[in-house]
This record gives sequence, C-alpha cells and structure tokens, in this order.
Amino acid sequence: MSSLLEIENLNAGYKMGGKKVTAVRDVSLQLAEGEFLGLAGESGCGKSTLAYAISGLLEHPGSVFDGSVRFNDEDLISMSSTELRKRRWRDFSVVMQASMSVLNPIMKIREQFYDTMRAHMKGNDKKFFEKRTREMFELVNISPKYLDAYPHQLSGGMKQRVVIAIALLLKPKLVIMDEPTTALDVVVQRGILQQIDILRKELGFSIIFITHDLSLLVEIADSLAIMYAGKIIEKTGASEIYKNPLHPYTNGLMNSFPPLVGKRKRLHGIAGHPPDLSLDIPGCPFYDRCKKRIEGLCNVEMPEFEEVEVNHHVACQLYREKGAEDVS
Amino acid sequence: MSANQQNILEVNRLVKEFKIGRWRKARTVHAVNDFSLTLKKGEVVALVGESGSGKTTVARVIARLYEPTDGTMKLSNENIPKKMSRKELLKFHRKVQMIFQDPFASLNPLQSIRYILSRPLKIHGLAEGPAIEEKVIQLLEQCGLIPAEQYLDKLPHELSGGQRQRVGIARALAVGPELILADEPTSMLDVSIRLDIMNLMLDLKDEVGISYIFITHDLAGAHYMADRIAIMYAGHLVEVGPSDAVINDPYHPYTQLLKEAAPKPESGLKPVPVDTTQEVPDLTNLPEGCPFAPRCDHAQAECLQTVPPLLEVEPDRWSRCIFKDKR
Repeated sequence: MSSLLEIENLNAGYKMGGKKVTAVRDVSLQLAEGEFLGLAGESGCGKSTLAYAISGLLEHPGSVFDGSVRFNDEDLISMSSTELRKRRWRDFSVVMQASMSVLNPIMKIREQFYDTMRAHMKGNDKKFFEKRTREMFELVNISPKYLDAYPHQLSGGMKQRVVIAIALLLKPKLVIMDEPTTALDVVVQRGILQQIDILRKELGFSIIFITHDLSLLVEIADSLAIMYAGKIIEKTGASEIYKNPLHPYTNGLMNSFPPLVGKRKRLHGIAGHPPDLSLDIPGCPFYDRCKKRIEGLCNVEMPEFEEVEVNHHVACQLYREKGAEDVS
Repeated sequence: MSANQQNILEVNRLVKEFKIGRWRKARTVHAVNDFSLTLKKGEVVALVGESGSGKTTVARVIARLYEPTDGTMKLSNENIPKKMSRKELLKFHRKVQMIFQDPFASLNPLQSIRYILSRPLKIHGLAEGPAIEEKVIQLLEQCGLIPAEQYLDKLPHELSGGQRQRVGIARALAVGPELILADEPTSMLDVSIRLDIMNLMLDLKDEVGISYIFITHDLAGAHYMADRIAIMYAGHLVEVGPSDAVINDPYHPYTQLLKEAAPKPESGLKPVPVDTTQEVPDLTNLPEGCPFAPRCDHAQAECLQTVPPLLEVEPDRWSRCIFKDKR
C-alpha cells in the first residue's frame, strides 16, 4: 500500500500576545490508502489542532509553524487557500465534533446537500443532485422523508449521520473525524461507528478518527496512535496496543478504563496533569507523571520515536538500547 | 455492603411530569413514571440510561430540586412530604446532597474555593469563626486537594476539571450528608482523571459511610462503582439487580442492547452488529404499552397494550418485561 497522507515533523499551535503555545510538536505520521487510524489522547493533547492543521483549517491565532503535510504527493501546507478549498470536501473532508452546529439551521437538509455539490460538481443538473442526495441518505440509513426537514427536526444521531453523509458526498479519499460521536448516547454511537465501518469497506476511503475514548478505538480502528502533550508517543495496530502497551502513558490510559465484565477490582488512573504547552519541554513530556522515569535521562533528552518491535513505534527511553545501557 | 442493613432511602412509585407549552400546544412530558428504589445504608446504586431516560430527573426529584408529581419517599424511615417549607428543605439537605455533572458550571466563577466551601457550613450553622477555615481545610484534604492552604484563595478557573470536581465533592461533603446523588460526575472529565474521582468517591464511602446514587450512561463505570445497577429507559425503570448479575447476565432486552453497544476492548474483537436504527420514544407521546416495544425484537401483541410491571425474576433481581426468561 502506498501512503495517502504523509506528515513530517509538523509543528503547529497558537500565538497570542507574545505567548506561543505549541500544541502539535514534531509529529510525523503516515496513512495508507483505506487505513482506519485512531488518534487518541486527553483534552489539550493537541489532537484537534493536528486535525485542523492537516486540513488547512487552522485559523488565526493558530498556524502551522513548520513541517510538511503531503496528501496525494501534493504539499498541503504551502498550497494557496483557493487551491486548498478545491481539494477540501472533494479529496478529503472533515467531520467536526459539534456536528449539531455545523448544519445551517435555516436551510432544509436537501438544500445543504445541493449546496456542497453546486460548489464542487459544476455542470451537473438538479436531477443528478437529487439522485446523489437520495443515494447518500440511503447510505447512512436515514429515511428520505427527512430531506425536507430542518436540522432542528432531527435528533442528534440523525444530524451526525447527515454530516457524515455530506462529508462522503464527493467520494473523498480521506475523512478526518474529530470526536464525531462524543456528544451521542452509547447505542447511537455504536450505530454510527458501525455505519462508518461499513461505508469505509464499501467505498474504500481512509479515516483519521480522533477521540479520547480509547476503548472505542481499540475495537474499530486498524492502527492506533497515542498523543500526549503534542507528541505522538506510541503507534501500532489497535489490538496490539491493547494487549501490549509499551509507553507508560499508554499503559496508564489502558488501566483507566474499568472493564465491563469480570470481577470488580480497584484500578488506578494517572496522577498529575499534562504539562503547559506554552513552555519548552526538553525531556519527555510525561516525565512528571511517569512511574518508570529515569532521572537524569528522561527529563533531559526527548527519546526518538522508534520502531522497537515490528510495526510498533514508541518514544520512550525504556525501550532504547542505548538508554538501557546507560542505566545499567 | 455494610452489616447494617437499614434502609437509608425508600422511593415508592415516584412520578414526575413537566407541563410544557400553552393553550393548544400544551403537552405533558412524562419524565419519570412509576419509579421505585430502595437504598441500603452504605450502598452504591448506579442509575444507568441514555440521555432523556429520566435518570437526572429522578436524582433531582430525590434531592428535592424538583417537587414530585406523585409517589412517596422515605429517608431513614422518615416520610418526606411532597411539599416542604424552606426550613424543612434546609434540614433535608443536611442529609441529602448532590454532585453535578459539569464542574465548570456548578461552581460560582467569582467566588474563592474558601467561600464556596464555607457557605454550606454557615448556612447550616455547622461551624463558626476560625472553626470554619479548619473545617474547609479538612474537607479539601479529605478530597485529595493537598496542600489545602494553596487552594483556599483560588478561583474555580484556576483549577483543572478534576480538581474542580473534587471541590464539588468537598462541597457536598461539607454538611455531613447520609446520601449523595452524583449526576454523571465523571462524564466531563478526561479519561485518566475519571478513575481518580471514582476512587475518591469509593474511599469516602468507606471512610464516612455515605450512600450514593451514581448516575451515568457508562455501563462499565456503573459496574466499577456500584453494588447494584438500575437501568432506565424512557422514564421507566426497566431492570434492577446486583451489578455483576445485571452486567453478566441481563434480563431486560434493553439492558442487553446497552451491553452490546458498550465498547468492549477486552474482547479484542470487531464489533458484533447491533441494530441501532431505532431511537428513544417521544416522552410527550409515549406508546401505550412497553416503552421499549417499538425497538424490541421479542415484542408480542400484548407488549403493545399495557406497560408491564417491574417483576421479581430472581431474588433481588427485577425486570420490567412480561417475559421472565432471558433471551
């Protein structure tokens, strides 16, 4: 599989009144065609900023500081906003967290589909638009009777389905989803995830799925990247990361979810809180909260993001041969 | 569970309706219907349901933030009247306290932590003069905000979400309540912090001997916290029983659906297909029979006629379904 998306050494964040917050720090990621990548982390870890940076939606005071984002062998960072606008929705689309407020409240659902197609599929007539809209409705499992409804007449789950349908309208190759199910109930959430999974297999697009809910991702994603304080600290296959989390932070996250079945026993979360991202962090950002930290090493030097097992990348001194030697 | 099997709370056939709209548009929202629950001293019961299932309304009625429309309630074997005077309410709230979902909105942003925590002490006349500050410091320490002196003069916005929720818990503890109703206290917090808050609540239960009603939509969290789980759907209690039993071996079809829909990373498998296309009924226009019947695979003609009663299907296990067998 060739890479659809290649992010290299991306730094992005916000500048406000002389204060610079680097929310995405030196992130490199590859996404293959048809891959379902889950991106997990706590609030404030930079996962949403990364999504905005990739899609060129980072607005003032936010900006990409340096690094590159290549999509289909084109550099998105240096692209003009007009060029970018052409590609957005056609080649890649974004589903935001507050989908409820993404839809225009005074436009009928049908019109909102037409609107997107008018902007991107010039030269087609109404008949085509109508056919395509109905197809999309069927795809996301909503009755066509809602075509003439206004957004407020739909439930939260249905609105989220509509937003997903619009994101898929132009058959993009990549869909970035930023916590698309966070505001929804468990049953509705499960329904939407299943729908996404089915659609992905049918239409063959790639997904970057951002959430703080790791348990959800382990089930549905192909591979999983864990983000902490702006950095990707571990990446591997979804089931692998559940069975064999290497980074102490990932391990702590995994132990933060009470299991649904089985014996009840006391679990312990991760004490402390993430570092301030307006500061320079010379060592590992997890140092203050880490139980396995090595003083004089972890707080001085940021470990490289390396492949320590087959297809299992981690940024932690514990797994570096050089680091291990230094300790012993 | 403590050896003392005394009931702290008995709720019997609680009903709460809200009137909305006027004149021709007047409608009634049947938020809670026929809700009965008994809570033993030192017990934790989790109230689980989707949004709109009435779980928050139940908590608010029990805490008397809303007046019930119908039904009776006993606290420590004492009848709690439907309408209470201010004095009676004040006395009642020394025993029953609430923790709210949003730690960002439930603390006054203009008041210091010292003020927020000393208010309940003053209002209920529990401490005076220098004893107030002593008590506030003790509360902060009890809730893991150490060193307490450092937090006294902070404003809520200077604290993280988890710390704010700890202040919310400290505020509820201030009056020395017997029962705390916690309305989704962890759903706004980050995953790594959630467990800390749940552990704090469990520790406090063991130390101080409080009972909790823990409201959540997260089945796994309910299982972690509670001795018993009560499942709500469309304003009805549909299943009650010991946590392990309800999770491992649910009776009611809705509980089964909830269990199927919950993320289960430990199974390490791809999700099983669950039919999730149907949605919760409109509470202003509930169906005649079982509220879950329109979504239920096993629904028969009789399910559509009357709402089934909560039946004891096994000792200490109740299910609101006419079929007593599990499917």
